[in-house]
Amino acid sequence: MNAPATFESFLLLDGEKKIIVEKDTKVPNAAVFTISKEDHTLANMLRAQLLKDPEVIFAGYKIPHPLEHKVILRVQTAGHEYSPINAMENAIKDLIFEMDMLEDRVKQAIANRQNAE
Amino acid sequence: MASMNNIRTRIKLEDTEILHTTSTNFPGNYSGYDDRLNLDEFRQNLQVQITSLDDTTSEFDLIGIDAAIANAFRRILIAELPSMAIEKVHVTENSSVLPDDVLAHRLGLIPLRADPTLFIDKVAADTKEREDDTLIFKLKVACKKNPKAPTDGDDPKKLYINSNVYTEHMEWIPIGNQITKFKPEDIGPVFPDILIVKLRPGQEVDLKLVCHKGIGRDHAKFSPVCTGSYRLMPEIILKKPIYDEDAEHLQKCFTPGVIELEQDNDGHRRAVVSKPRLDMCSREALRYPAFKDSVELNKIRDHFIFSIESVGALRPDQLFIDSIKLLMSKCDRLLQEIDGNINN
Amino acid sequence: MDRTPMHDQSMTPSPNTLPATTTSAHSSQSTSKSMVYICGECHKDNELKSTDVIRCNECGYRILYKKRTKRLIVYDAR
Repeated sequence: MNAPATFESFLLLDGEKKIIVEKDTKVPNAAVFTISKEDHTLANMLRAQLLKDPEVIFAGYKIPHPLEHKVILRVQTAGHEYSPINAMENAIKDLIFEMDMLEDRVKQAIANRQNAE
Repeated sequence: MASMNNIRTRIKLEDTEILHTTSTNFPGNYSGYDDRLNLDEFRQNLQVQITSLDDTTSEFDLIGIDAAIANAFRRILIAELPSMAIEKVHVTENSSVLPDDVLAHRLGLIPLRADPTLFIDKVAADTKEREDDTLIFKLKVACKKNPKAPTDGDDPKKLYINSNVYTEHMEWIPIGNQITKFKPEDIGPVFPDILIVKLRPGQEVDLKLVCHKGIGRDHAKFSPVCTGSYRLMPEIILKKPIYDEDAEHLQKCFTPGVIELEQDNDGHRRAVVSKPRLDMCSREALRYPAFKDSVELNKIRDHFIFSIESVGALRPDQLFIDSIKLLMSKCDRLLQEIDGNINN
Repeated sequence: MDRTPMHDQSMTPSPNTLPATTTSAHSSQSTSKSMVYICGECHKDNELKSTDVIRCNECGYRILYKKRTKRLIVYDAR
């Protein structure tokens, strides 16, 4: 009937961009990232990671409507030399590093267990 | 007044409320603490301990990660890892008591044994059945009277042939190169004895089942886990020694095995915390004034007890590794997009 | 619900409802064309022509049901 297409929640539409960065005009060193087809999984993790950065003074996200599959992440940094985009890049790189480490540890733990058996 | 360190690392369970639930260890929040991200420290604190692991279930501890990361894994396990499931049902005959659409819905939920990594996503507009994105099963069962049935019994299983349609009746129809790519035991329902529908003599189902690859966010039938969940490690602190009858009473307030009684030198039995991991955190002990000041209940903020129950297509350890990889590829993609944004 | 619309020869028994121009072409079969119905009482198959009385040949019950379409119907397993 009028149900939204099932793939709408995870496939980018034609011409839709994965991420849009907009500078906040009212506040210095602030930007709003609109990330399409993502949800709490990525956004909450990014938010927590950004807050670990001492140069970030604000990081928060919202999902404006449950039928719109996007998140809006706002980031504000302390100084001019360090833009919100830099902060995002660092946060994601740190996350990838952490994932990498976790993957190693998990594989090691599984291997240890199999050897012990 | 809880010490600063307790607020940062413990969730406190009170009788009527739960305190300090959110992570607050961010730089600038606490004077005297340097909370900026330190990857060396992360490496030192990170621990993975597997407590149980078999073909379908696993329990393991992740120590030293933030709740946001643990939750991301849980969400990915449930909603974003792919698996195969019946997506279309072609009905040529269905004279059973189940209406066609109800039968189709039941069939969709059957867990399938098929490695999703060997298939690609179906393009929505493409209606052809291709060897690399589709699995086909035939389900054609007719019920008849059993001529050799005992005359006095009333068990439908003895009176009729095929009175129950089970998943074992599903017959895999290989298409294209699937016949050489897969062995018959690689493909099929995970369990042979799932009841699909009951028939009576004269009734018949004749169906073609078309399976596609999908993710749990689209429909729960595509989720590769029955449950993917975590809980925090409980911590029970006995601030004052508790003896004899009181100790027995305290023991009853917790899940069996959490509190043990120890023989004292003076001949008293003393309560000791033995296995806090088993506690289901009922907070029963805090209802009694006698224990209110002598027992402290906490949860350790960065100690996650993960439990994964696989539906059966993939092993739980493989699923968890896949979820890490998926999260990494999400991060990679985002990083590329942001870099692209700067250059534009 | 993804259901193909029903337009099935097996579901249109009566030659009287056909337009006059086409009846001549079909007239040879239309008189002999019959449909199978299921009795509401004894569940026996009844082959009836359009001129026949609507009645079960076995038990005389007057409520008859159409058979299921022979067409394939596709459902979403959701």
